[in-house]
Amino acid sequence: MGSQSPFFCLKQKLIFIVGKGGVGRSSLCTAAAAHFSEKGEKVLVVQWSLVDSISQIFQMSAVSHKAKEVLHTSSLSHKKWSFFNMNFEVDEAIREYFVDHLKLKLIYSLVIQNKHVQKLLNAAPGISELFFLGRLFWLVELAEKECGFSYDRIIVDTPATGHGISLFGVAQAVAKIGITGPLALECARVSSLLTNPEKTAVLLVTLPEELPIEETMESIPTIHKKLGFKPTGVIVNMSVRENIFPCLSSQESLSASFFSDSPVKNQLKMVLSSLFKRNIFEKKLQEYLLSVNIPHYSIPDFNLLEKDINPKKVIEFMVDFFHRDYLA
Amino acid sequence: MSNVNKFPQLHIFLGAGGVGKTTLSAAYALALAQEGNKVGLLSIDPAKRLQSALQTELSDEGARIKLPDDKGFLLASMLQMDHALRRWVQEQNLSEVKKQRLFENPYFQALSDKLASSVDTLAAIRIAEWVEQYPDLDHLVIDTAPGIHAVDFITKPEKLSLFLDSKLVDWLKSSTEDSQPKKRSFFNQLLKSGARKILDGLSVIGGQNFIVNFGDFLILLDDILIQAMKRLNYSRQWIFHESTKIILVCSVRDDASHVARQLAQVLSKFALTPDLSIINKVLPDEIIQSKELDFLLATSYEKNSLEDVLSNYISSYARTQAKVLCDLQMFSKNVIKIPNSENLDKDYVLRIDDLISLGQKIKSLQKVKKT
Repeated sequence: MGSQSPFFCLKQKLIFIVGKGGVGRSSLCTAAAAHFSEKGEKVLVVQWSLVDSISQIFQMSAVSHKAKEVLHTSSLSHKKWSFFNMNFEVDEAIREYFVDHLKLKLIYSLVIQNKHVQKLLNAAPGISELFFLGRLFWLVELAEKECGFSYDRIIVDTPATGHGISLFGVAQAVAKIGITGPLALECARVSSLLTNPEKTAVLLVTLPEELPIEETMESIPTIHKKLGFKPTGVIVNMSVRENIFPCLSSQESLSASFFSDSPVKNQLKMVLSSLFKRNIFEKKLQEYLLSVNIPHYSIPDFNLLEKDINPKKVIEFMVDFFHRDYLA
Repeated sequence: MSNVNKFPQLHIFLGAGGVGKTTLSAAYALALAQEGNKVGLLSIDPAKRLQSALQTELSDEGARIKLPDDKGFLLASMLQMDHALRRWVQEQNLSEVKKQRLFENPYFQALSDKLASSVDTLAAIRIAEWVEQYPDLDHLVIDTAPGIHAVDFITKPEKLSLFLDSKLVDWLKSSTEDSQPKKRSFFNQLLKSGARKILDGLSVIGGQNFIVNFGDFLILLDDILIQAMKRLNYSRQWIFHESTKIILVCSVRDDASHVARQLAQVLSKFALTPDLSIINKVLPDEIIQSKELDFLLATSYEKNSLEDVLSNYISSYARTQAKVLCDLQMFSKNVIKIPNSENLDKDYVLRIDDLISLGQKIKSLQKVKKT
């Protein structure tokens, strides 16, 4: 087992952090951005969501398609963080593609902006996803040439919808509907970026609970098939593994003096057993990951470290956790 | 459509992902069936453990669940978009050639993928379909997709009709209609101005095949979508019926409580209120109200000792729980708490009896609240 930080020695410029709602995906994206920013990199986090949950953490107003800088000084390390944050909007991305990139202003205003065409674009499979990936391609490969500025690292807060990870299969989906012309070219170059493990990393986030673990294990072959490479790693958030919390290594350890005669002793044991249960699920995942040779990382449940915790503190703890490892 | 008076009572479970909707809705359905009712259950993505507790592999078709005693019965199914879509094609009087063409159309697969993420619409259509298939059900328990999109079928019925009523759809159909070649050329003449230019513009960007495939697909799918719309509208009428119960599920998580609040807000715009809110996996009142908890939280233990870790954990859990309770009470009069221990059987295997007693617990707490 190598490093305990999933971002240690990560070379890829484009990092997809993939997971279902509620697993801490946005927190992890924010911590990753802060981590790379501490190392002096220019970082952008790309969200694609109804609500911008990253600005909320820092009590900032919500961002839109235009990136805004997040500035924060960690109360743990006293280090300054500075990174950019945006929330993708498909209409704006389509405009950027046709007007700024292809310089097809006329086609854009006559054809694309027609309200019936808008409906078709909305209904056609994979179109919004294609423009999302197209924008990421632009940020990774073209931004420097076209506007003289680029980021060192692009972290994508990727929602996992449905069974598969629909975003990664988009090139195939669009190819199937028989597209040719500029859109087909766009598809081809997006595909070549996505399927290049030198440039693209995919990190899955999950919780040590039954359903999230099951779903993560099921999604791994799907992603492998769609991208042609295995996920770069799987991160278990809110972990209570023994190597992080040695006191949780055996179930009978609720010490004798601890509420020995209390009527709530049994209830406390029940709470404790729910914590142990997380380890059962994480072990199941760990065994699977070993068998398919994918690195497994655990991020502690910081609620077990301190009594008074909030979303901002969780990020600070996470970054500190990655950093401690970096020193070791 | 079936007799209006015989419509089953609907119980719709809503909430964020991972709060236990699927388990609680299955438990609730089982408890209703144990009382001697004829019950249907529409489940979404049930865990393997739940399926093995029900001793059946759930599919799109209803499967009868073996109950400890057989006063009532439970038919359980799982929503599967691809199966449902194929069935809807089969039930239409399309020629084999047309059916085959539809199954092979790239948009057909894409539609099933796209709709797979809007299980809400599918669930709403399935409600009507179930009443056609099993007209004598007393109750229908519905598990929904996680998050606020679960109510899209109530708030945005146009999602499906979007495929039907677009003017562009008509242009596309007319430019690919193969059965009426004369009409087609007539249409093409009509289209010579603006519309033609737009179609030409689109084929510059995406090629001709893209438009032809889409047009062909729409023609083939027309009747199927119309039938789906009929069912959707029929179900909507029952979702708004006074007998329908909406159950909001939340767990002890800030984000889950946020989703519950958003759901309640959206529902209130349609004059719907949750009849019951469940906070799942709470710390039992025995702990929350005990003097020991105060002691536990006030004492400093050795860092990283079991006592320290446990007291930190309980402290943050209790705080979140109080906040979630407070949030839910703002929009729901009837909030019940299901303690962690109820879900957490000591063995790893979940048994049908555990589910039934969980369902009975929900029902009994609900009754206490009402009186």
